[in-house]
Amino acid sequence: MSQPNIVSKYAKRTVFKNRGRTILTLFGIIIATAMFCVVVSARSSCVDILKSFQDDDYGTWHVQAYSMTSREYQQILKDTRIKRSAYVQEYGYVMAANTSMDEAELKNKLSYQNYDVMVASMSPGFTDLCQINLVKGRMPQNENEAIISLEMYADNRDMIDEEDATSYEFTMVYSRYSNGHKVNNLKEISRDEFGYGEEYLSPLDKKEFRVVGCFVVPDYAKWKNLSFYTVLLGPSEMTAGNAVNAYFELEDPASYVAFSDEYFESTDDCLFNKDYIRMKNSADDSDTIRWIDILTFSAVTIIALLAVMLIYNSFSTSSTDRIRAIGLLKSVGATRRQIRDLMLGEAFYYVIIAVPIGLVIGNISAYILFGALNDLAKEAGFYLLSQEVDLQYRLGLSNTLMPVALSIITIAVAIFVPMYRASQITPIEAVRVNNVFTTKVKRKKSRGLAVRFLGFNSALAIKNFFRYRKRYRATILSVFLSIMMILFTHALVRTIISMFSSSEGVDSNLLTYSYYFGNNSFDASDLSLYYQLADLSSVKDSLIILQSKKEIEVEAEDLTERYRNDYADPNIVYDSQNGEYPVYEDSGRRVTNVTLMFIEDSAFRKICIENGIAPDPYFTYGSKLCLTNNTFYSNTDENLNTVKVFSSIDNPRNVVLRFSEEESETTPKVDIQLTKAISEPFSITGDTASTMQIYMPLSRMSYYGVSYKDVFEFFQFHVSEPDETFTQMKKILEKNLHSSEDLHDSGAYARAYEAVTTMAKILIYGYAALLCLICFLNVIMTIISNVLFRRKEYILLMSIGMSRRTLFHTVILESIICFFESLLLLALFAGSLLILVTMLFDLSVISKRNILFLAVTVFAHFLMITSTTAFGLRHVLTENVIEGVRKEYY
Amino acid sequence: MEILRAEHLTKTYGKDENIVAALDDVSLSIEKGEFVAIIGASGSGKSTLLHLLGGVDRPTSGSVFIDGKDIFKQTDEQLSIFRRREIGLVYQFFNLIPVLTVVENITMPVLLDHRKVNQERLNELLNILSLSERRDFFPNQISGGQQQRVAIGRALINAPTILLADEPTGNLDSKNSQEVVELLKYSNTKYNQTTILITHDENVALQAKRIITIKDGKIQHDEVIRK
Repeated sequence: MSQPNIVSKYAKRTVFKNRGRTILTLFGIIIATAMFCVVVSARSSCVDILKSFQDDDYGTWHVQAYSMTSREYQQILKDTRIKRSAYVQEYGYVMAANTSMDEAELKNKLSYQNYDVMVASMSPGFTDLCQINLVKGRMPQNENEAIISLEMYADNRDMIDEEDATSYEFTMVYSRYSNGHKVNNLKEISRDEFGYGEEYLSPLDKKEFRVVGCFVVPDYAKWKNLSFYTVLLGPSEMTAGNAVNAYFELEDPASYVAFSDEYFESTDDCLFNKDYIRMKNSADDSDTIRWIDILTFSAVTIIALLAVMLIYNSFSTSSTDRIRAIGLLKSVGATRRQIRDLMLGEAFYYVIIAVPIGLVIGNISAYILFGALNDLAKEAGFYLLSQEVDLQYRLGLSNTLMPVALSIITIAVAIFVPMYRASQITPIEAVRVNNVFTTKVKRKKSRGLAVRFLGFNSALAIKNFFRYRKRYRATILSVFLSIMMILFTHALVRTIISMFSSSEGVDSNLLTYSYYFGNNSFDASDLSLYYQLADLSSVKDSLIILQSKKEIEVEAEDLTERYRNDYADPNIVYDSQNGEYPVYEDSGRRVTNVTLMFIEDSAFRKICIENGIAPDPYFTYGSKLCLTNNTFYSNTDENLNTVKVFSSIDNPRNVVLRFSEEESETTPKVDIQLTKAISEPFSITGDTASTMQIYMPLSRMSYYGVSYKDVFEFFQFHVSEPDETFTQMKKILEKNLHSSEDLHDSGAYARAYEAVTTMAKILIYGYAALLCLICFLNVIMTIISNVLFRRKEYILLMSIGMSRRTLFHTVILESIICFFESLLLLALFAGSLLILVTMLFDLSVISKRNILFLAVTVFAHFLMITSTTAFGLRHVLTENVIEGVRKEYY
Repeated sequence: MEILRAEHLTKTYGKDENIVAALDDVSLSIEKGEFVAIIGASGSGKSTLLHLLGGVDRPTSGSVFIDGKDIFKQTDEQLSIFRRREIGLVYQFFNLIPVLTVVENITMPVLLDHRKVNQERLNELLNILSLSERRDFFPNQISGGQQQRVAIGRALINAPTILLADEPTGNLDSKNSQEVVELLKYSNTKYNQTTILITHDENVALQAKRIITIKDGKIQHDEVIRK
């Protein structure tokens, strides 16, 4: 019968007996493991997304060999390192007939070439390995079908279109230098002084094909050569003599360097799909992946550090509290190794209990989190990256093993020092240690003063705090870190939000249709179109605006000081069209450009009512009144500033509005009266953001003699389902023979930014909240273990006459002193941290809102410390006094 | 036959002017099977002497030979193994491991040595110590006297060369004290167990065969009172 291992048995029972500490430590390890799991999963999901981008853009090949002979290609194919291959063979270059471009333009575009279309064909299965982005039609099925490049299609070259049949006579085909071999069985060719091969042209035959689609010539394709005017024929077998551009997918992506070194003389002859190789962890240079890894590493390190602090504290407290037991073990013959085994045994139980639970919780959390964030990611990805972002949770071996390994390393690092210290405990300490009387007490001269001024209890609390300062260290540090983390997180989120401030206030459900009338007038058919669009069920609110830019004469003293100094120097006549100086002098007049907006009458009334302004006077025939949005938007240093233009807009004043660009005696000048400045009642798109806006009812347009011709027509819709409504509106516009390209999803970017900021908030606040939770656990553990460690002392104090209430107050006061020491630490670091924060983040730390936030954070920590102490004390002080004195604590 | 010899044992604490000699040049020799009581006032150095004899603490100078071997020439690791095999220790405050049962506490030195527990000896000890009925109890479930008996059992399970008891009755009432002393006497007689007992209770000391009196870290008297 095998003997029970007394060390592991002791370890196991210690873990299960000290339930409070064990539960807190387990909880901390579970959180850390779950966080590791989510971070690692997020990293692999991000890499998957990048890989899918790369797949979409490039395909899955690893090495591209440029311009080789068919013989060379066949030779390389024998290499067993190759998993799959594909090629494009070049038939040659031709001069396209029927070009719509004039000769000079063509020459300029093609530089020095006499031919402008490249004809090539794909190998069978080419698209399995290489990505072709088809924008129209379908892929060619055989060599009699072809797809043409988007450039050819867009320039209407050769007048070819989908399903057109056309033919090229290959009157010229060129051969190219390739590794010293001759191509097309021509004579030997050599490189010129720049390393380029000479090209020889020879006649070939005629080829007919049918255009079946249009594609974007990919960036990776070296064969795209000069013009981008490419005809790519369907799959065909290799013809000897044609130059071949080959693509290889290797069994082991990491062998790409050795593979290319073997077959290609220089990097000019080949190209690596480096990002793809990198994403398979087979390349060591990367920017994108490096940044993701730095972010992952930072996130993991912070989690690990806080977890180490918690676990270290748990083991350290445990070994300190058990000096006597450990010393006893040593005195009855336990070796240092057995003591280390004891601690390792305890750690082992933490690992086998907490890590699997953490792993399960982490994976479930990642699954739920990624699912919840996926819609936001798609929204942001579509508008900001123009890519399909699919944040998918993937349960893989590496996603499982990595968090486990990280957790084990974290625990191992955390227990190293306590384990070493425990193994160094000498047996004599077992005899000497007494829970209450071992701590060194330094006699303080100030003690008498403290007693006199603060009373005995306060003095005792201060004395005890300094006496047990070492035990309070973890509490102080945890509170400090927790507060710092909350502040940093808050700053980071605010910074991210401010990065997208340009979209602030923009309605995310706004669709706009803008149309410049030019020589046409706004007429009944336009109005009919507007109502067709506005009548869609998803349209909640709509508006017609007819916008025109006009000049307005101003007096310098009417302008606000800031506007006058920073933006409108009347003494300098500058390029006002570029908005450098919006106020400028023109023929002795001081003028500024304004955006004049005639708003449909009912909408105008609504704006007035929403802003508490009586609308009727604005509709009176001959009225001079108009509304003003007295705001100038200035985009400086990537921050959007709003500056008031007129200093005294609340007092009605007359300004001259001019309705003609050219000054003459007959130029109509209208005296209007600026009245109330309103806050922008709706999001205005177009070029109105950087100028002051004046609003008038549409019905007054004719009174001012404003031509319907020189205006922009804006239809603006607030909708409930932007994506669906956008599609419906496009159909309506096309049906009415209006270009749907003028319909804009103006809220798209706002929605994308909203999605990004929401994601950032969820991830950053969630991350910080869990880290704070680990800090909280540490605080709770240290406070509770301190109270438990000193319970005999408390009971002895009660036995000699200290009332329960007084004791309670004394100990709580101790924890308050501890809390203030944390704040002191915070204050000491505050200066340098403030500089760091303002350097790293755009944070106005002094703002009222932030001070309130800081106060709430600090108060929450204060409550946590005092309530935890109170809870621990309540638990301890329920014991009978005499029983407590008698009881021998281990 | 000499089983233990201490030569010029000195143990000092502190430095310079604060130096305190807990033990000052103590030499003694103990024969196998002897039952020795070391007595002295509080702070006289008797516990320090016991810890040095048991290899629990290291002396400032001097040597301890057990079975002719200088124990302090061993490394800490070797000394640990030596302690668990050759020394049995009983403390005033029992010093049991609270999460281990009576049997586990008793057999701990054997288990730490990765050896098989001699069930016969264990049962015999449990019978002698009257703990058969309490074998699976935890320390907090038994009385102080029983806890001290467990500590004695733990000290005897390995049949150590020397049993060292540091005021084993100091924390017990007179009835339990007498029982513990009887047990020590019994083991001394039955197993010819060399026993060194520290006490300041004269009645307890008088039950030993030899009494060594220590004062100010020095041996004042060394007297055999019974053969």
